[in-house]
Amino acid sequence: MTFAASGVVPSGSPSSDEDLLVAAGHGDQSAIGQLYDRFSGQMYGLAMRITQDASLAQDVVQEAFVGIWRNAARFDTGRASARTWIMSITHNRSIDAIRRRRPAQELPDPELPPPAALTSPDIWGEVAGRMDATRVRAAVLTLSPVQREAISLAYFGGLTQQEIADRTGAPLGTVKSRVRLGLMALKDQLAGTDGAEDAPSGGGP
Amino acid sequence: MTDRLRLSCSDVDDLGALYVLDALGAAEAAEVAAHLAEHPERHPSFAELAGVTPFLAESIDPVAPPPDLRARVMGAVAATPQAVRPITPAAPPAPAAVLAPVPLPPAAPTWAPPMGEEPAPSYVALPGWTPVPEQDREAPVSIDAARAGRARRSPLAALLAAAAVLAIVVLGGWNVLLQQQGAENDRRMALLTAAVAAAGQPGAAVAPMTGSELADGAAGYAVFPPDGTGYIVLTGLPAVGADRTWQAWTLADGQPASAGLVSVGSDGLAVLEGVAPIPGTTVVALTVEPAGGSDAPTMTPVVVGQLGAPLAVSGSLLALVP
Repeated sequence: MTFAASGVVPSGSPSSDEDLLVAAGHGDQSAIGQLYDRFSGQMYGLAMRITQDASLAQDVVQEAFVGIWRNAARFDTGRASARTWIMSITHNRSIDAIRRRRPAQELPDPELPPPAALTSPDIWGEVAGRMDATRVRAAVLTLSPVQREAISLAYFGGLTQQEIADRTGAPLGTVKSRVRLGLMALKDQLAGTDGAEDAPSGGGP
Repeated sequence: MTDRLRLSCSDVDDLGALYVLDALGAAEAAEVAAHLAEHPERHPSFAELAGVTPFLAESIDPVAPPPDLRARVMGAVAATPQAVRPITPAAPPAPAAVLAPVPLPPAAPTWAPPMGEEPAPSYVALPGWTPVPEQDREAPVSIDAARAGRARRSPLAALLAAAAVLAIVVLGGWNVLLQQQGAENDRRMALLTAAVAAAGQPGAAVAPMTGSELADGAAGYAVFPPDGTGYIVLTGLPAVGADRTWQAWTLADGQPASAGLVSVGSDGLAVLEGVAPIPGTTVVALTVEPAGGSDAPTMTPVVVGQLGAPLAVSGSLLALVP
């Protein structure tokens, strides 16, 4: 067993994120410790952004790691990168936390869909490691202000489509298309496609 | 019962972005999930949209959590059992079980368990039930002990005429296990015996569970003893693909809460322990969820049992909860 304390992960380190998840799936708690050292800052940052509450955000990180630990044996390296899986779980727990906190009559839905990344192959896993926050932010800035607002209210605000419509005064259909076009544009920006590969929309319009 | 809202492919494409951002209402999200499960090949754009969301997370600057959080997390991890290790029996599987993959059915817009007309009696009384002797409850149960249990079969069956499902499940489960060997098998035998003992406790609440047409061979029961956590015992549970899992739920006041993931032996027998007794629980159900489980059920229940009265949790038990 090695100590991963130095903060320096040599390139070609034998323990990829995926290796660590697999080890955790075999009951190795120290693998969770290493994943904590790698991901807790990003997880806590996301949870803080969504919950706006340090204590709640710490609970989110803890719940996320307990979920990762419990379910690590089910992690499928063929379907999602470890990063995608871990951040999806963190996002889910964060949204859960703020929806639980709201008064009951404001609760939009008690049910959340499963993390989408768990149900569809993750074509982004490979490029994820090469992307930095600056580039992502630059890509986000290419969106129109209303698209950015809608995506941000949904992803970081935990608002439902209806709540976004109420908040922005836009009709539901408009919210729908803003979010959709915004995410598609973001995908193109981040993937660096030349636009030739515009996503087919199942069966045509 | 409920209006079924059927989404077309273009509806689903329309909702895709909101779905991957967790911004749909429950009914719509369930519809989309069901549609995607049925026709994944028609919606290649979903994977691409879903792949964008982790980048949104990365646009946030990392924030160092307080130093003591690491110990807290590691402590919580150490205290949490990994509930999802698949059971692999050492012996060849018994042939009886149905092993066909379960297709995901379309989800109904609301999570309304398909109840039978006759609600089960409030607390299924088990007069004369002979529980496993007190001293056997703690100790690991050997195959011999289980054989002794099996030898009590005829009086047992007679006593349980009012709860035939329970008897069939227990005896069926024992029969399955008795054909097999190995440590894992012994562990499941011990669990099964503990579940039987729990049902024998005075005041235990029992919900017979039956499968819908998707798992019509499935039968079993959920039991909540008055002074501890509950069990779910099922036989004839079909296997699901590697990318899916059975997940158990308790429903109190209309709110589903996960009771854990359910590992099914290749013989179709599943015993789930540690089912938290949530006060007010009226329904226990199983759904098929994506591997790793879901935060909320994404389909109508496939196996359902109902308690006749909301589950009461004794004060002494609550006092034990830290």
